[in-house]
Amino acid sequence: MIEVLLAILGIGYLMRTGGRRLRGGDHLPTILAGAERAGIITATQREQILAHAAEHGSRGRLGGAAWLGVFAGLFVVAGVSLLIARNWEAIGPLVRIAAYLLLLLAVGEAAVRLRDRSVGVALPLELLWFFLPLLGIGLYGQTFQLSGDPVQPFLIWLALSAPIAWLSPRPVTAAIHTAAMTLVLFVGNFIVDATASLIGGGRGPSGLLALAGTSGTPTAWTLSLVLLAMIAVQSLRLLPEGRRHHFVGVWVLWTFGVLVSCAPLRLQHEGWIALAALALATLWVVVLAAMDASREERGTSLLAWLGTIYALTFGWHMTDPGHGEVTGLGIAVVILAVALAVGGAFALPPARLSPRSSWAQAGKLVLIAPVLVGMLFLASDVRLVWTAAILLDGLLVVTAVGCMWHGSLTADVAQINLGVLILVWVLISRFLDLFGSMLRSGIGFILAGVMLAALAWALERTRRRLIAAPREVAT
Amino acid sequence: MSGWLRIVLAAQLAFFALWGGRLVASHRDGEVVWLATEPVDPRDLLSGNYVALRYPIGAPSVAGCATLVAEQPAVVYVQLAPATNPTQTADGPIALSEAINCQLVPPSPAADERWIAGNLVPSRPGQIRYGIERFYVGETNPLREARSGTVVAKVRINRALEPRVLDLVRLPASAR
Repeated sequence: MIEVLLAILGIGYLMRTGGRRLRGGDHLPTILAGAERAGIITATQREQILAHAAEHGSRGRLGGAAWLGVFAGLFVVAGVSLLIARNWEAIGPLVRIAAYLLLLLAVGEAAVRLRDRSVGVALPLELLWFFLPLLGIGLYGQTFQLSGDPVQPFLIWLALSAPIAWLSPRPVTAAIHTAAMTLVLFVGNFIVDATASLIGGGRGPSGLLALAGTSGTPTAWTLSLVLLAMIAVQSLRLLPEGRRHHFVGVWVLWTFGVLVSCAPLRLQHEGWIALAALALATLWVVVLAAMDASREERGTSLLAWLGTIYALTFGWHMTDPGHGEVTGLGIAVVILAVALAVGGAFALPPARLSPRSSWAQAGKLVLIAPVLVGMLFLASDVRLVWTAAILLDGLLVVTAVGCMWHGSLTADVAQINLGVLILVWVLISRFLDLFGSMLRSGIGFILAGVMLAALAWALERTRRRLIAAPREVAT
Repeated sequence: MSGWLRIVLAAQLAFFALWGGRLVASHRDGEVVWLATEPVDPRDLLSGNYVALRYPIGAPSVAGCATLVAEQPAVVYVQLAPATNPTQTADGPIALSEAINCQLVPPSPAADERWIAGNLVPSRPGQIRYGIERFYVGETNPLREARSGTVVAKVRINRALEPRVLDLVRLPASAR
């Protein structure tokens, strides 16, 4: 009971602090009223400024206090969960249901009433309301000993809380809801349910959304596609500008997951898997470039593209050519991805890649080349696989040098740094690949250290020169 | 906008009130059977405070059950019968129920027949899950450290043949 009292006191303190902020936190109306009285602005201007502030003010931004509010909401939810767990045996089912309904009503009503007020109060309440249905499902599950599908409760929660995300004046709830949908989709489709295997359910996902290792039920496919569509729609409509196109990455990763794990599309041939990864990663970059997405969004896709190419450079170590079963449908999807990636890169407006047309054409070639090189992984001669790995290594070096050069021409420091980073990464990897066997003696370690230090010095000097060069031109 | 939000809140309250009401009422007057459990090792420590349970009726060896196979999840109905020899528990002697028959069509049970509904696990012949494979325990519950195989489950089955675990009772060491 002491914990319950402490929790109530804690919530009361948060509400009181929020109330104070409500009363004294927003100074703008007071200041504007004073300015109107002093004759600095007119009443119409005061109202216009307030309307403008309401529309473009700090609603979408999250400062330190707002983040504290977010954590406050999460802590309260966690605390309530723990309290219920601690006093579990003493509370009967009817009391639990009644208490939960009362709590849901109180939190929901408070969130509705205070939704347009100070973010420090409204946001924690909204998040508390957002998570309460999940808490309720857990509470009912534990109270009535409901086992069964591990994914279904989360799907119900996502459905129940979706309107809160859509009707919120802030993007935070929508962002959490979208991330939760993505997590549920991937866990439900691909993650193995360890408990199911323990109690005789076999290894593999066992819920409504299970796709990995199975053909997937019509329900699983339908729900997965609905979730994918919802993730896209919600991202485009509700997320802050600059983060609306991450759903493309979700689609690409999901497609790859289906290709490597789901029976009707399954690819077990390493060559086809490599080609699928390259084509889908390139498609991700191309689609975001075509959409003129933000730097952050394009950065994520670029990282995935570079990571895929880098991973495949280790194809040099393969001892046998790719082998394994493939499905016709899987191959069709890969061919479609290859066609879209190559065709999309070719058709990209040059300005999306560079303000200089020659560099834009070079960029298109750099995007298309890995997909074409990736086809060598399908060869039955392992020497062609090694050739593909070496060519991809070369492409990484070309990309790195291109980024540094292009960055220096367009005064883009981030591009220069990215180029240096890629180059360092590739050189260190290949250095360890080729001379790793030397690292068995003290002399070998010393030589390796000296060579790496020289490399670091040279690269850092080049980077500084490249960054300084455009500034001199600019000035 | 507030109007829409209140509609959402009302819908959530209605959902939880109706669901809670159904859960409270659905197993109020069902028949009680006792089920043996089998060891599950290792216990799933990552998933919180529940005892993972496995039952002999989850993989019945009787004819008609062991050969059931499903490519998609399918409901299966299992007939139970109490064992003739009583089992001693910490709460006294009880009669454990065993699976004696399985069928895919809903049964019309006679007054003295006990049936339970489960789901066939796809691609795992004879494997059935009943939705009673977890027993949630509070922080102070002495059953928190219980393991499947050392307890028997008291299960109530409602008219829709849906089971629900009411309690776990420890078996004496000699009966495990």
